[in-house]
Amino acid sequence: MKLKVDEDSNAPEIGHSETRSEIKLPQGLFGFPEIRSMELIFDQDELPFMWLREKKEDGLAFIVLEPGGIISNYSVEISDGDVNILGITGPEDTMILNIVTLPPDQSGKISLNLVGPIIVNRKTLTGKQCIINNHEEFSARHVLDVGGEGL
Amino acid sequence: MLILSRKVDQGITIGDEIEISITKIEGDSVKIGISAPRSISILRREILEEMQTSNIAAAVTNVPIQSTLKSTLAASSAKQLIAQVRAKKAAKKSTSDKEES
Repeated sequence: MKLKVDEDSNAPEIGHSETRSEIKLPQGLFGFPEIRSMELIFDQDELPFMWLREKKEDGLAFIVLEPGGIISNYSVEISDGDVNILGITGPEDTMILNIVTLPPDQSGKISLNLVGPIIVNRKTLTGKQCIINNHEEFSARHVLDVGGEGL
Repeated sequence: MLILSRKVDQGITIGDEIEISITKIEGDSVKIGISAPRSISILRREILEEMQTSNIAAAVTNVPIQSTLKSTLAASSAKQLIAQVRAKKAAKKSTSDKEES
């Protein structure tokens, strides 16, 4: 399934609660196979950044964002296998989350993993980190050029 | 691990649906052809390793349950991006307000 990413594809509100939803991750994440679910939390004042974090004290967290309007010319091709596992049918029920790596120092640049986004079914709130079929077109360490790109 | 010796143009089948053939050998590099159902993901191992390394680098560990995203987003480029997204939203809102009035 090929999904074009544009600004309209961003919609952080999913599930019953507007700012906090539990995402099931039955297969874990790469490097963290034991994870089964995480909470997606956002605050309007912090968008595009959102928290994806374990619902426990001293747990693990990732900073994620929806790429629409942030990364120009980004598209994801999700394999048939992943489409079946997730039960997604099209752009309306699919959320794309790219994991953000923050620089170790404040002045450094932010990078995004465009190769392995977390794809979430907005209706079932089930997610999976998928390596996109068109991964050769994009970088796993895409540097966010805040000055110009996309905005 | 099962290890088999194969020559060019010879192959291996796995189950009913997966076929692997050796198409070319050149120095220390081997070209492999794989036919499998589209639902089976076939990836170079490096890319999986890259995803693991990337996730580990991105992970924020030992997060106290009350801590906010804001406290983690100290990088100035993060602040810049938030400001840009907010400004863009505000601009969009004012345009649509004008359209309504």
